[in-house]
Amino acid sequence: MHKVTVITKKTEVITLKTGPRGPQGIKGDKGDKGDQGDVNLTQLNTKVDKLFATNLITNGDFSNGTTGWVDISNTVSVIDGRLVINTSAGIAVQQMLNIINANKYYTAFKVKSDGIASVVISFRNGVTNVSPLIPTNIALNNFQIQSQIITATNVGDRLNIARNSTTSNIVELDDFIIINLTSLFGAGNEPTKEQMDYLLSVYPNSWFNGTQELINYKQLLDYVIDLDNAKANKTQEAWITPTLLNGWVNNAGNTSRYKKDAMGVVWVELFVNAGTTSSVIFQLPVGYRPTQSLFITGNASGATAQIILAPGGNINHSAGANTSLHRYVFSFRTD
Amino acid sequence: MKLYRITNQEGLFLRDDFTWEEHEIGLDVVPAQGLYQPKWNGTEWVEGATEIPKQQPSEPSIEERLQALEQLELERMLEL
Repeated sequence: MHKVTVITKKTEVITLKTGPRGPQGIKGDKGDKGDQGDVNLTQLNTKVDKLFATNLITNGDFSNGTTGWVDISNTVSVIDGRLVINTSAGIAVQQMLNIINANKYYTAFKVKSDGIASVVISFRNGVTNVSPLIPTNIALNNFQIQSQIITATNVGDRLNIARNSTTSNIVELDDFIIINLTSLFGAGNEPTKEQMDYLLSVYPNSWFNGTQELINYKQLLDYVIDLDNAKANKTQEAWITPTLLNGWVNNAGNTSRYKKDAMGVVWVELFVNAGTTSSVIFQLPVGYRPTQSLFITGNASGATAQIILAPGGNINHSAGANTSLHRYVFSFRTD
Repeated sequence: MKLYRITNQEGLFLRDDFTWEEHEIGLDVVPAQGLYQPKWNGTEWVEGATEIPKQQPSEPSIEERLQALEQLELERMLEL
């Protein structure tokens, strides 16, 4: 069963006093019955069908050079659409933002380095940090997306990126995105970092510029429900009756049959007699054959009998009188 | 997928399969049984083998008969 988290937006509590006051419920009941005649618009959870998210960062992919960014230390550059830090000096690059106190912000960017390096990001109000300092784990030589949810501890006016080491290794950053989750989903309904990572993964590089429809939740929910229904409604394959060869016949009252289940296991029920000894009883079709020869022991009117399954699909009689009823019930994997 | 009885152009049974080649015929009919080489004559399965091996009934050996008797006795005891 898929676990579905539906993000809902709680409506405001609005109670319209339109009727006379009604009787109260008995204490211990599921609850007081409340006032009759009131039109209670509470407890409405309205599904959010469309979510338009805005990347608060301007020029987050550095496609317009340093436009929107402030190079405080005057030591960074934009090369091939990436912010490149090529100095051992501490640097600070900033972008002015309107940070709301106690709001949660999803923050993500790509980063890589050619050696050990460290970069920290934070929200600031002037020179004062208004969020925890978020260190990044920089991958060597390969871009990796660093994402986190940052909760503002006060009002702020900028994002600050600072180098936090004295090594001279080259650090490259790209595709910054910051989304105010509290504003978008409502306080208390903010999704997790993992959920946001998933939502953004539909975009190239998990990044977009400006405002985009984050996802149509109704479509997503319908899709997942359809998946679950398809899984629940999946029917097992019907039994298949084989073509018996070399004089082998089904015993009266029993029909030989086989099928393959959803896990790729072939189930065989074989009830035959009167065929030619050491001959092929029937042949399993492609896809229903074992990967190696199998020796199956069965019963022939009380005595031990044996058949051999060959990888080519033939089921050969091996032992047991052909005047006896051969009975075999077995299963095997096809992979 | 549906399993078909695959024959050659003459109707001789080749195999049970889900697909068949251009020179073969896929039949959606009941499977044969009791025939050495089934042949579809257009309405039913008939014997297609030109030489039917003489059936040599393989009677149970003394050991097999004894084993069968022991099995029956065991089943009788378990029923008690």
